[in-house]
Amino acid sequence: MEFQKISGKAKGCMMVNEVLLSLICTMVLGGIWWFFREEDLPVSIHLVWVVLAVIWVVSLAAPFVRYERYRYRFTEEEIDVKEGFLFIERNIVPIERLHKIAMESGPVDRIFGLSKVIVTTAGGDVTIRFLETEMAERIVERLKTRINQYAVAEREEQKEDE
Amino acid sequence: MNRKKDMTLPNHGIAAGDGTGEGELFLRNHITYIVERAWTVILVFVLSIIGNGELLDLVISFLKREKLDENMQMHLLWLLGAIALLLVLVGWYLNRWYRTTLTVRDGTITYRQKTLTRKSNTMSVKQVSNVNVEQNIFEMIFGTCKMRLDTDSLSTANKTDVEMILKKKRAEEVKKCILAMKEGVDIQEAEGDMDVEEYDILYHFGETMANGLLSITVSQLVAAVVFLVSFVATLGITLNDVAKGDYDHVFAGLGLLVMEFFTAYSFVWAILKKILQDFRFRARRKDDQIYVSCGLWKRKSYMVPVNKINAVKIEYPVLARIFGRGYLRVLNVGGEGEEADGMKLLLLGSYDDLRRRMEILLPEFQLPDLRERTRVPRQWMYIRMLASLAAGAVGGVAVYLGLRIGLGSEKGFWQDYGKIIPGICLGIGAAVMFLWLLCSYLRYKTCGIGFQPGELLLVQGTFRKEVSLIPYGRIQYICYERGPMEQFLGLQHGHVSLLASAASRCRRMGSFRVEDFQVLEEKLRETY
Repeated sequence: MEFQKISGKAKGCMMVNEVLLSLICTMVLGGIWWFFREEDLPVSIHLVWVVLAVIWVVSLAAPFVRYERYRYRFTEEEIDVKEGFLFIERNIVPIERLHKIAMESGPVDRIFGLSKVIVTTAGGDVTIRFLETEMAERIVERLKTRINQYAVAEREEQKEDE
Repeated sequence: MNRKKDMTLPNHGIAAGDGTGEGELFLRNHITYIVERAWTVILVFVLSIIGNGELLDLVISFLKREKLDENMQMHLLWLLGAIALLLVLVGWYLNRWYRTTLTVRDGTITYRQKTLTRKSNTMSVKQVSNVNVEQNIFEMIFGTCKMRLDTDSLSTANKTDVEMILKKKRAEEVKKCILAMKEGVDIQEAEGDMDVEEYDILYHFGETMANGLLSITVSQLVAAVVFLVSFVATLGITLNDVAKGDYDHVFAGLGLLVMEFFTAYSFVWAILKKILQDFRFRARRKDDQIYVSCGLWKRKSYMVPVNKINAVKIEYPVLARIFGRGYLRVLNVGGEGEEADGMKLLLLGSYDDLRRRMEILLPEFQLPDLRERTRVPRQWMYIRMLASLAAGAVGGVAVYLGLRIGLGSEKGFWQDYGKIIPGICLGIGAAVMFLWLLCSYLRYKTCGIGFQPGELLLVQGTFRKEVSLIPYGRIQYICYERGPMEQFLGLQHGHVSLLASAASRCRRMGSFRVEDFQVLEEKLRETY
């Protein structure tokens, strides 16, 4: 099965998250500038604005790059997720080893009608973000069915062994 | 042969009163639990009475029935307050002792503690991965021991792991009963504690001694060197002061020497502890269980079910690595008491020694030839060179900024040293860069990855080395990461995730070519 792109709404969701984060950074750095603007520092306090400009440029560019890079794939046997901005992360999870499947959506996700699916193995969690809620529900159902199939097969194998 | 028997337990002299019947185990900690928990406070109390002359006078006056003056009366009040506090503490532990119980019934184990916070954990006997027995000096005197039940589930490991203080004989019987229930066999067939004389592998005192000495960590080594240097320097200065008759400085020097003595003591004790804890280390493989027993002042015996082993690793501490010696640990869930990163199975030995002993103890894992591993590509060093340049620059600039902020207003300082400060900062930056490069080079020479028919081989480390062998079927998921430079050079790094304690769950893989990891993916897919 080929890798799939996430919903177009994800760009908006990512953008809102980034803008919120950048606003917090602006407030913090603005506060630093306000308190130290008249102090005699070894470096100019106005460098704060350069840092802030970089943060905003990165924040505004990141959603487009992240959207283009985000790919996921569900085969009969495994889940494969690729994501990232500067650093790319890829997770390969065998469905057979899943212990728990969860679906979550935060306030910003809900505005855009998006959800995330969190799959838990005995060794940790992997999250598939920015899925349309309907799609996320379908994925959860599919995973549940597949896990049940594994459980039935395992039980039959045990019976045969006995 | 059908070994399955009725899972209900015979009384077997174990089921105690309190309305418990046939097939039920009801346990409470041994009464020495109270002393073992409260002894430090009791000791401090007794020592403070002995050490405090006035309190001692008070006790003597009290015994002689003399009349107490006002000062003595105040001391009496303090003493009574302390005794009341001590009694409250003992009462607290008495209550805890009475209200902590362990019940084994119908294949389930229930641990209840009905103190201020009430808790009750119930788990299946099948979930028990290890029944471990430990004994410290105090317990040896009273003939008791700590019996610990470890579960093999990560989600329940910290919540349900149970510890009870029992009489040694009783603990052995309980252990046997639980194992019998777990294995579904008759109690007579169940394996109890390992007979001291039965072992497949036994380490002699010399080997244990070498193990303790070579297992010293870098921090211990650094502490030892710092202590030795400072001790010799202080001794020299103090002797010089004695010769001059400068007794003010002599007293200060003696104080410092005492401090350094205690540093040395802690260092020596750490080594001694290592020797003592692994004293007469012996291991035996029987069916699908490995039994390990060791210790002098604190005897420990634990059981490792082979089917619960998720990986094995050979660790080479810095000193041991110089002598080409490593020890073997197994990674599983449960049993992380003092050994948060896995249970020790073999003490320090050469790679060939370990391989030979593993064939006896754990033939399921075969140590490969490390020379055949895929090494980290040279391109990775280019990334590290750039990173070391950046680290050096950051280090130098940070020192300069620190000086400007801290001593910016000290005009005299800048007039005297202003010209050499940039040079010093540059030197510090260069030193940081050199250290970074050195560490990178050591990692480059150490790290490697190998794809055995059944297991993934990972070699990691900078000063120390760690060789992990992970069956593909035990990998829970794979995570890859690629930084901008790695993307440019066609490399990636990452980790595999295991069912193990938090300290061992992530087994990191160094930076290798993308194609190398495709082999890992194929091997993983073969397991499902």
